[in-house]
Amino acid sequence: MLIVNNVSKSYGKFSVLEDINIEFTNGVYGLLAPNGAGKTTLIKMLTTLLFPNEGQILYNGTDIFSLGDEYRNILGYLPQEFGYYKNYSPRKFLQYLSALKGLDKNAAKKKIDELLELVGLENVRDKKMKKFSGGMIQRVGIAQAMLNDPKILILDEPTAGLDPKERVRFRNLLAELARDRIVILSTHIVSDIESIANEVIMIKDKRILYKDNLNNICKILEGKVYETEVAFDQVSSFRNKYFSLSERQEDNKMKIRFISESKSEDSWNSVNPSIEDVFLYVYKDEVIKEE
Amino acid sequence: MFQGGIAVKVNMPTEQEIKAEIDVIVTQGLGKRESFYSYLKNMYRQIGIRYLFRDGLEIIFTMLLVASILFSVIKDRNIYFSENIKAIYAYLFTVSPILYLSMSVLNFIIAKQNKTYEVEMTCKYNIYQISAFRMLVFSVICILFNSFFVYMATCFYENINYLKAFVISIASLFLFSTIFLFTITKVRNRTIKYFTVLGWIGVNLVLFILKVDFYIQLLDKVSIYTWIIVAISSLIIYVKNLKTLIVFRNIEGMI
Repeated sequence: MLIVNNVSKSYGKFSVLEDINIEFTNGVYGLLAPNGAGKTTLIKMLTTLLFPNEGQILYNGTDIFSLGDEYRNILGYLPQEFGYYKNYSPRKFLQYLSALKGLDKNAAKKKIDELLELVGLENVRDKKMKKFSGGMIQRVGIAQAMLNDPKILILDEPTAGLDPKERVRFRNLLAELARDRIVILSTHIVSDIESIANEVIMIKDKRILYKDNLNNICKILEGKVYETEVAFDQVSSFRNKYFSLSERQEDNKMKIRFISESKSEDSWNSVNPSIEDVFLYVYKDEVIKEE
Repeated sequence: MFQGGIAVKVNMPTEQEIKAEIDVIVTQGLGKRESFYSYLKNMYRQIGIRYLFRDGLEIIFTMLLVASILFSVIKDRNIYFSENIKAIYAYLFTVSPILYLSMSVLNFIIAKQNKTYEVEMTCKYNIYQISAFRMLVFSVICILFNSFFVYMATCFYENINYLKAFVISIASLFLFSTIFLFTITKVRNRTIKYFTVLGWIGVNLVLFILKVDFYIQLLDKVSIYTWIIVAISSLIIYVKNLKTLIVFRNIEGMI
């Protein structure tokens, strides 16, 4: 079990995370927050790349920093910006990393072939990576994170650069892997979370806002999400009155999905809230700021 | 002890039995402590020379560059040393760690700037452990290089005592390496870190260029035995510090 205990992190006077408490057991955890909310900082602490200013992170009761290589031995990590050696082939690069991970050469050889097949790179295993597309590099990144069959798999924005087919394959793979390990997935792509995460962790204002399963988090907006059709000339005033979640043109009218705290009108259709609705609602201030 | 109203006698273990049991639990519970030497040996076996020195070309280039600069100074500044032959000891003392500094700094700069830094840092053998191995190898390379360099110096200037010049160069190398290791592992402030590392070279260089008599006399007057003691002591402290790199806790901004 991985426990984050009263962890705070700041860079000088700039505080990023405050008093974070999370418990991870086997399963997929989706870390969902807009860019800049502290997801990567939390992940870097979980991977021992950053030291918390306060609090501690424990794996099976022992501080991960004092576990040292014992902890790194059971860790698989895909960083947001996955770097590689351009002149290496995926096979050579994975051989290099498996040596750093202290894996037995023969076992590593077999594992590398298996992983390259799993991520669909078996036909280019000996081609130099400088000719690879972003999606192919990302798949090499996913393979390297799984080299040591990690007990804790941490992936920072893993589906960036993957096409829809690759994304589906990757999600299925994660769901399979998460049966006997902790998988922590950081993303701002809501659909990734929707399909595989057992639990969703949302960070807001430097703290954990929610840590719950998808259904419970969606209940926050139960009975508040509606869809209706609005004439084009009234769209602007409608937007001012209600928080619009999505809009699309349909039959010369605008079909709007929105949130209303007040009672519904006859022309409104009450719909089930999705995690995307919750995301947009929770971070509405951040969205406006970013715009 | 009572069980259903009947007294059951339990045989309590003796003090020795308790102690023996505790020892078994402690030995099995605690992992084996690997010695520094066997740790490096295992690391070498698992990673192999090809990946431990995957920047071999850069290292060779650095060696050639530093060697050509240092040799050209002895050769071209012939007149300078002819005026005061004792200054050659000051020169050797100043420049002996330069190759080590260049290789080690390059090691950390490349490691930090590489985009693979994060992935490599989360592997079992991360940059600190690999650096401990590499820096040990760098020191051996530097000892060989310095012995050749001092030999070349004695060829140009016949009045130099080879043994003394060699011991001064080794003492300087390990004094500097110790300071360097201490700086990268203990000093958190980046400015102080750069200042300490470059300060050693800078101060010695200024004293040498300005021909400060006191400095040149000091290096010359210190007996060879004292230099040997300095060299051995700093070598021991250096290796001890290298061991700390193995279990070094990565603190943000350390390298």
